[in-house]
Amino acid sequence: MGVVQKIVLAGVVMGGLGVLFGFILALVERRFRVETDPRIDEVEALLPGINCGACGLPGCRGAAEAMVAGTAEVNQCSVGGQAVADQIGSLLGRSAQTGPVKIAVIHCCPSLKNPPQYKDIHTCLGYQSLIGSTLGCSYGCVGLGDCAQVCPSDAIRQDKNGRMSVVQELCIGCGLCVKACPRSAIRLHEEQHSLQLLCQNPEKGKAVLAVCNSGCIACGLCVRACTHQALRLEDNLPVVDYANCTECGLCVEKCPKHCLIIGTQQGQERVNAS
Amino acid sequence: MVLKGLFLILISSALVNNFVLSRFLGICPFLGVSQKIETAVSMGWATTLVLVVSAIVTWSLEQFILLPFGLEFLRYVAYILVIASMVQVIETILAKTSPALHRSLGIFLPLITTNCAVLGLALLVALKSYNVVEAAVFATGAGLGFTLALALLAGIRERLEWADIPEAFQGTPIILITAGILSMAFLGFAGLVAQ
Repeated sequence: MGVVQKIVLAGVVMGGLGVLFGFILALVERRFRVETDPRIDEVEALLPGINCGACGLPGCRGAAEAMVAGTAEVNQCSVGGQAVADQIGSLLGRSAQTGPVKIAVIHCCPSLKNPPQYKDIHTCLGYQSLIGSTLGCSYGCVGLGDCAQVCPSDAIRQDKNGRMSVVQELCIGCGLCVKACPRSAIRLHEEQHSLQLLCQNPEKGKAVLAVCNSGCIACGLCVRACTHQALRLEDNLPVVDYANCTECGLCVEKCPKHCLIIGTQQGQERVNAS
Repeated sequence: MVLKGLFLILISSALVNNFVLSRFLGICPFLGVSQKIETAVSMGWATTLVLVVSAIVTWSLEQFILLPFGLEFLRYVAYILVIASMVQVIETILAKTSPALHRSLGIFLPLITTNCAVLGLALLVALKSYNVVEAAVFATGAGLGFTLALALLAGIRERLEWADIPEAFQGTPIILITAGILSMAFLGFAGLVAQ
């Protein structure tokens, strides 16, 4: 057999195999096609597609399936918010109102007197289980970044002093960090509630002073400074009544520990009150 | 006597010449899909299924087309074509007939196309000129050995999560070292079958 014949034969065999398997695949595909509701794909395309799991369903695909099946509300996706809920609602002929847009706030911006030395502990959960509340402030941020680990939108950053903060523009309000924080120092707030207290130590002023330079000492200056009756002290911490708050900033100016802030956590100029 | 031969082939391909730990085929899924025992075993079963089916189909291809036409040099290309098509066919059929199994195998199934153990097995079958039964048994053994190796490494890696590993060895290095030690341990099977 000559070389040319061999080349031709090889081409015919490979081409034939390709066509044969093409036909087999097409046949199998037709015979065994799984009928799926085309709306599932459409809903999935509308969802953010980051598979954060904040809705409690297995990813955006799972959420889309549940929404089409009717076992989940169209507003289940807190990340997409009202805009996505409206689009899905009009697609599926249902409507639902979503709550206000929420973002995460880390209620601690520590400057501890004796920052703990971490050795072979790489997660906040590990720290909390092994060391717990025996060292320093037992209410505040540990700073080992469990929240940043789980954040699907990379919105939690750590500055050079080890403080964690949320970049509000990136936060999608999924609440995964809230679940990840072993000290429950992160909570979701409505986006327009910009006055926030970055401390959640409910102990008396002296005890807080002993462990942290920037913790709330329950001095009450903010409450007295407020001209709108929007603040009151509860468990040695000021509580904001957002219905009255006008974000005038008087309380923020008075706070000796600079733990009340208005606006973003990221990049705020904080005087280290040492 | 025939049964004994088949049993030897099974043991040989599963333990003595384990595809991952002795022949160093399919290292990618071995390192990539061995974080958890559960997923490792899923991957192992999926690979076993593909190995057996593709061994039989490539054997027929070899016997009925390549050998008669003197086209042995086409093996590599033709086998890859067969394997890729077979994986796709298996996936489509599984999705219809057994959605639960399809879901548990998930992304692993299409990924097996690029697993060199599958191509390696088909080439070895041609090299050893097995008959079709031997080829199927050989593939089953290879699949079981692959599953065993994956499950073993996954079990060790689950423990490594909690181990105090020196910083320089954390991550991939310790896994490679572990795989090496596992491979040496499998050398112990060398005397089991004289082949």
